Amino acid sequence: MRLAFALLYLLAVSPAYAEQGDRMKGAALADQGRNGVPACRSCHGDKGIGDGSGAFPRLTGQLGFYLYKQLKDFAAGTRPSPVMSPIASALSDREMQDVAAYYSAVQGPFFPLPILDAKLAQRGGMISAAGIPERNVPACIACHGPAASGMQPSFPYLAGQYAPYLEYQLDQFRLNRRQNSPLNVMNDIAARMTEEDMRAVSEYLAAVRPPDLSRIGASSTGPASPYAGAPLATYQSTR
Amino acid sequence: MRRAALLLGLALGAASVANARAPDLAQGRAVALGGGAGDQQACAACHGADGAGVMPIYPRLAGQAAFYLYKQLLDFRSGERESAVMGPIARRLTPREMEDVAGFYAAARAHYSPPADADGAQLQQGGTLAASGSEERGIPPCANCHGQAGRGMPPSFPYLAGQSKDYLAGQLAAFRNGSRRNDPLDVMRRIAGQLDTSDVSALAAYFAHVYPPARIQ
Repeated sequence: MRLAFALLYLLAVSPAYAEQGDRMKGAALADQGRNGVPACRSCHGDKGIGDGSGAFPRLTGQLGFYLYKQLKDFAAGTRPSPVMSPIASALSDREMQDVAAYYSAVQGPFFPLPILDAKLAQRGGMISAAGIPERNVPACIACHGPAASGMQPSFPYLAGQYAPYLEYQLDQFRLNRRQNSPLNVMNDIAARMTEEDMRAVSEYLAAVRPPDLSRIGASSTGPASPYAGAPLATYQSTR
Repeated sequence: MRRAALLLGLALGAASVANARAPDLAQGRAVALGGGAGDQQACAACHGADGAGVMPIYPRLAGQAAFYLYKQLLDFRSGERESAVMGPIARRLTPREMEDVAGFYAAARAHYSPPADADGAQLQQGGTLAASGSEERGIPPCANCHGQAGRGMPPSFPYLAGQSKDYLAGQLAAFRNGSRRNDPLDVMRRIAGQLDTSDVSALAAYFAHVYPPARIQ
């Protein structure tokens, strides 16, 4: 029954959603907020790139339906957050669609990465690509797409997401505080992971730079840039 | 609170304009490396030649607002900001040397590597307090004065982003217990008085992880 609902929800809501969000209105809300709603930008940064800390997730180019659904879930309480729940509750459905449409369409740079522990990264890379077979942990890329760069409409990109945020969310799933993944599949997965697994896969995923899929096939001059968006130097000089 | 901050900004802005001689960066560099006329300890010994700070207890100076740095040196000298280390050093510097060395570190670029330990829950607690404060506890957002994500508001409000965690926690504790008293209009003492110890460590951890401004414009 729950499965049927989940599928219906995904199939019915997402195509309709995609055409409805108004990016311009979403951009205004994201940058300025409105009475009773703080600007998304004040925590999530310019164009949703965050502030480098990992306290707040990167929203830049995240799947629109995923973002919209998170806002719905923050408001409904299936993804409880002392910060986001009151904000989401103050948003209209229309505003949620607008702001999700804006962030899904925007591009932005990445902050430079700290030096990665190679052993940890390798462990994380294995979990992402192959899972942990002996503990029934599936590969991240099975649902989150090649290079964990997201799978429409529901599976968010993880590549380039902040490590502390990813680790924290895995822990929230493990503790069953976050209960908004389809069929609670993330809760089951996180429950089978150790703290060390979570840290390894989070650090690894944070270091993956998603291929710029829009450029693949668009040019015959060579492979696509491994970095989506402009380098940070551009970000600083133009802001 | 907001009005006080505005007045404060105006007052400090005016003070900084009075201090408008362009700093001599070469002279500032000489002072940083220990060549001041008063034979003072080299700033670089603790703060690094590039201002990154050589140990977590020493603050990062690279790219910090020049007027803020200059004012801190004046306050160390007068004792308004007490420090057994910085007091004697500042008393050996001339005001001109202070200007020059402040200008030197304000212009410096330094590498940044975030502290290794990052607790997502703690970062979120600190980040939320930094961005939106707490209305019921009377804590204004840090971002109001220190800029978005603590990237600084020159000339008077220092950046916090990328600053050493230990240093930030130490200063908040010092404002909280009143041992640091050089904040204009008691603003930081009043704010820090509303923070509990978990807020202090969360804020310090959060700001230490924010990517610092590459350069103060």
